Amino acid sequence: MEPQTHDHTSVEAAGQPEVTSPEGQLSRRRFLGLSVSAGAVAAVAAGASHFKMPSHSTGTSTKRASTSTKRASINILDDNTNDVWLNGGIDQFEKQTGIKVASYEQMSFEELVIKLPILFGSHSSSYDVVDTWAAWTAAYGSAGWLQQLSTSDIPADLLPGPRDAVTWGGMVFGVPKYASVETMFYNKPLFEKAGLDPDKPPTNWVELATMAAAMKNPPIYGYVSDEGNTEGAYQAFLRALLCCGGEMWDSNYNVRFNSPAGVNALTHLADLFLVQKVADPASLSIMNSIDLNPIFADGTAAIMFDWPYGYAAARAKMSAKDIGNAIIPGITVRSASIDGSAGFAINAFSTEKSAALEWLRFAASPYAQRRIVLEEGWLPVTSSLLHEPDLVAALPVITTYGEQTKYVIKRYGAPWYDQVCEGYVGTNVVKAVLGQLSPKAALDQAASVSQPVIDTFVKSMKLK
Amino acid sequence: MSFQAEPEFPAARPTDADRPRANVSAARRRRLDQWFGAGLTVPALLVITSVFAFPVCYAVWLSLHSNSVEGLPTQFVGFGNYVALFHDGVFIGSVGRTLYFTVVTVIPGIALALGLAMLLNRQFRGRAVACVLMLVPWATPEVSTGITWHLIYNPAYGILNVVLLKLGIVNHNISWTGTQNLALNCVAFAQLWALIPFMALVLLAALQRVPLSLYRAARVDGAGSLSRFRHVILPTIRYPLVFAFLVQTMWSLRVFGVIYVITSGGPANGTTTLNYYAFEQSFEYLNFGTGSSIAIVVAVATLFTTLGYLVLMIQPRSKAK
Repeated sequence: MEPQTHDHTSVEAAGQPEVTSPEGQLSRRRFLGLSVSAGAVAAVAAGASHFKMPSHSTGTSTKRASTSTKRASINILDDNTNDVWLNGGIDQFEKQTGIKVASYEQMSFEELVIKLPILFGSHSSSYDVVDTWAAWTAAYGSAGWLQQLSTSDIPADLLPGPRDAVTWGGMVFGVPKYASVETMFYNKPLFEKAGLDPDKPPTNWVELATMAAAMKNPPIYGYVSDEGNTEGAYQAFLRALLCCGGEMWDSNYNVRFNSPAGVNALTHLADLFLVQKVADPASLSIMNSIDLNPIFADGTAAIMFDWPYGYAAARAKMSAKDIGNAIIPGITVRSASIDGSAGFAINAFSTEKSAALEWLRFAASPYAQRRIVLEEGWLPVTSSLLHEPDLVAALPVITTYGEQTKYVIKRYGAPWYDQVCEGYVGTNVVKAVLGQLSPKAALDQAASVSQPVIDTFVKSMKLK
Repeated sequence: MSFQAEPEFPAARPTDADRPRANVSAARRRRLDQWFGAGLTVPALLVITSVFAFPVCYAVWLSLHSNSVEGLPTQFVGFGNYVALFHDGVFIGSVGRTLYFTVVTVIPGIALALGLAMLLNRQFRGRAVACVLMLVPWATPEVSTGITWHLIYNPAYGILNVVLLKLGIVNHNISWTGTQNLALNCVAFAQLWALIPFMALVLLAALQRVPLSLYRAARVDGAGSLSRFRHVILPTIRYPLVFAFLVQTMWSLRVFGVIYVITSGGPANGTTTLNYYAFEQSFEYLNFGTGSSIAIVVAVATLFTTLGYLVLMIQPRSKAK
């Protein structure tokens, strides 16, 4: 009936130990007993070794000394914009400050969108320094997730755009690492080919539309932008809004983007696609400004508004003399632009805040700033570097930037930025550009859902 | 029986009476064994609880709370977040888009997968290689699939426009993801590309279980191709087919990766499905309460769909009884 005897014979034949004898059987109880015993022995051994530790050291004084001389170390979470930190920047920082960068991790912007709320929400101190920009500074700073700094912690000659990227409600939450402001890039050979003077770029929106129409010859279009996602659409609208002298909301946080200035701005923007039809239809599929650059560099778009690295990207295929760069043409004002500066902030839950602050200072130092300009084509965050001859020679955009800063430059970073600016405004701007809603209807629709959201934040944060 | 009759073999296991600690009663030992067995399941239970039950419970808790300014839900609102969803135009729109996306990926997807499976069920040279190659789209990570199709659809230098222009089918670049309807269909196509192969292999395995004798008998009886498919193949592969429908439906209801990479929910929410909207609310707007309530809605919808399919699978058997 029971085949165990057969098994027993076969096990013996295989030379295995006797498993059926009471002495040799590894029963579950025996296994448990052995495990408990082993655990107990291990615990006693660990405890003993712990108590023995002082005898191997030279005493309490040595221990104290060791603590005080312990090298501070920080962990940094950055976006993937800059390579200078990995290419010698971290080494220089460690050499300069004696602080160790235990880890420097780069992620795409999209990954950070997910990572940072989880990191902060769980009060994690895994990273001491994190990437920030206008919207995150406002959202995470007001939530108490970023360490507030004093004004003495940031360089005195910070330019307004970079300063805006790390401040919210008069409070400083970080130090900028690079400045970024949109200017106009244009293809000089295409201007010449259309019989236009390449040294006289458009100075207002009417000229922009006229010149773009003159250069349009599909697949070449006069104008291209990145409105494929709501963020890009919001940026395009904000740029036009500022060029009309408008504002997103007033000082009491009342929505103003659907004012006549806003409607005028969106009408001008939509007309480029629907009336004048000079804008490349691809604009509505392009989700990132990086994707604008090959279109411009290939000569299939004559004019684009882009961040400073647009110059470096275009230089990969175009000669410097063919790249035109000027301030953004205005609609009812001479010019205006949007800011995209970024910086570093200190995680409020960090245990190495002093060391982290040293990193922030280092990022804005002349050493780091010069490298960011020369090697990566971003703008410096301080005014003192704006006129250095070698920087201007390497990055002609700096001159235009200097001129652009004479006009309004804003981004309207706020705790409600993602939901209101990107979500409601961006979505309805696309609807207007697609011709599904009139500019006024689109903005009114966005305003009707935006104001309650803003009011909730304002009330909760006691901003009024 | 014969083993017991053999005198030279010792007893297989010593009885309790043979053991030195015979004073331990059998009942107590059994109880100890039961406790020991239960103890061994504790680590597994802890893991399951932490990775499955806790997140689900936490999501339900989040969905019943509204956000503080910090983005962390603190105030109990009951079903307020759920009620608010039905006044949210984007949510209503995303329900419609999710259903559309599910229909256009499930029905054509299974039909194409079945056709592919029937093709692969025939003997031809390179069949094994074809089966292996078919797995590539399915084995490709969702984000890689998204990036691939994002590049293919790129209006300026995407291969799709290049090919169409070269063939003279179009005379200008098409903005594939520039309008809502086209973008949603483009994303659905990318999803189909990724999932059809797996479904085809599932159905191929089912097709190979169809008895050849049955198939031949039907042919001898004069059944045509369509009739053989309807009366021989379909009943045999019924359950794998329902399984394929079930899995594909679940995947389509929960779609996120390809949308995130190809269109980011745009243009103008044109590809914002329920799952993407849950992500947007949670991680972009920091409305974790609203985001969680959408996630719960998706989970419940998936659960009911699964139950529906299960009823479909069980019903014939119940009737047979």
